[in-house]
Amino acid sequence: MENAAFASGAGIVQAYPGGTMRVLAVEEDPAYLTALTEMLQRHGYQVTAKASPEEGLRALQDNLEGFDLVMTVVRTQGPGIDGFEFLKHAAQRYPVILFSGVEPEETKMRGMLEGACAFLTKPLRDEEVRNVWQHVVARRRLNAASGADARGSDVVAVRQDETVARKRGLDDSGEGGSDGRTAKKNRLNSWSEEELHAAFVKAVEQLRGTEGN
Amino acid sequence: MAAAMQLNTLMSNMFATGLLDDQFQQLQMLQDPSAPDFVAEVVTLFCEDGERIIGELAKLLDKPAVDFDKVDAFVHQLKGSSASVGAQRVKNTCIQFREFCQGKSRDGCLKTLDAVRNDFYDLRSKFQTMLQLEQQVQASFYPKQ
Repeated sequence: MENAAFASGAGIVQAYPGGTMRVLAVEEDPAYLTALTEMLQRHGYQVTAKASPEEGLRALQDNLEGFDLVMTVVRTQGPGIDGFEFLKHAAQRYPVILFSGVEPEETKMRGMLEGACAFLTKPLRDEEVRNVWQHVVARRRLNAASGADARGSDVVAVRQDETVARKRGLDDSGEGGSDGRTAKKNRLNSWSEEELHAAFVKAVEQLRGTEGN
Repeated sequence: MAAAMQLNTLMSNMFATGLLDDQFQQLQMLQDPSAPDFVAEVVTLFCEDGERIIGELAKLLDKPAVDFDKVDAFVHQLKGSSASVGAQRVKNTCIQFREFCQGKSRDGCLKTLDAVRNDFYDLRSKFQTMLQLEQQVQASFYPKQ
């Protein structure tokens, strides 16, 4: 029964936690915007269609939680920003799929390096459109994992720093309260990996009483 | 029945002569009772936008100093739009057009603009016939009472 429900793309898209997946589709070519919108809707996506990256950016700014995925054309003729500029804004918050006519590999590489999760060639194939939900799920998993890792390393680094400070008998007045811990955490967030490692090693040596020997 | 046969003949001819490719069939497959006018809508939008782009190209190539980058950008747009609806011949002519843009050949661009215009208007005319025949077929299956 579960397999039958997922047999169509619409089944997977509608089983998405939080309901139907919401796509912001941006394309200057009116005929293709119509075709892409229809293809997405056919596969169960809820689509907001905009005719330029400028309009797409306004849609994002007006409704920050209103989308799960952005799909945008790269090359534009009209005034305002192009797809690459739009990508810089949108990719901070959403998975972004770029699409264009045939482009050189360097252009596709640029798109991926600047934050796109895919760079597709128009006209998109039906299965490419059906499967865009995968980028949403992948991004959520990445966000969950990086959020957990960041919290873990912050806790370890703060504890080590506090241990080092106590051993040295440093006067951390003004840094002992929650503001102080926050200030320490913020300083730690700006440390490089090498600096953090060096602090860790120093802390371990101090705990062993081996510093300076 | 006559309208249906004419429509079939027209479509077969458009595919056989390379005017259309299988991307147009992909669009046709998206049309169903939930989107009964989908193909008409897409075709109409393509024709309107194509007309606009060809007008812009003519203006740009009429200037004493031609901005070939702008011309190329419009041709790229028309090429993409043609590819999206399966307008194969227009798309292929655009590919040649871009070569003349990149070679900064005004004569080459002007000749190819004529070719694109002819291909586009030929396609548009056949699309119009197609849509009329489709309406006739629809009317014969679902006559108004």
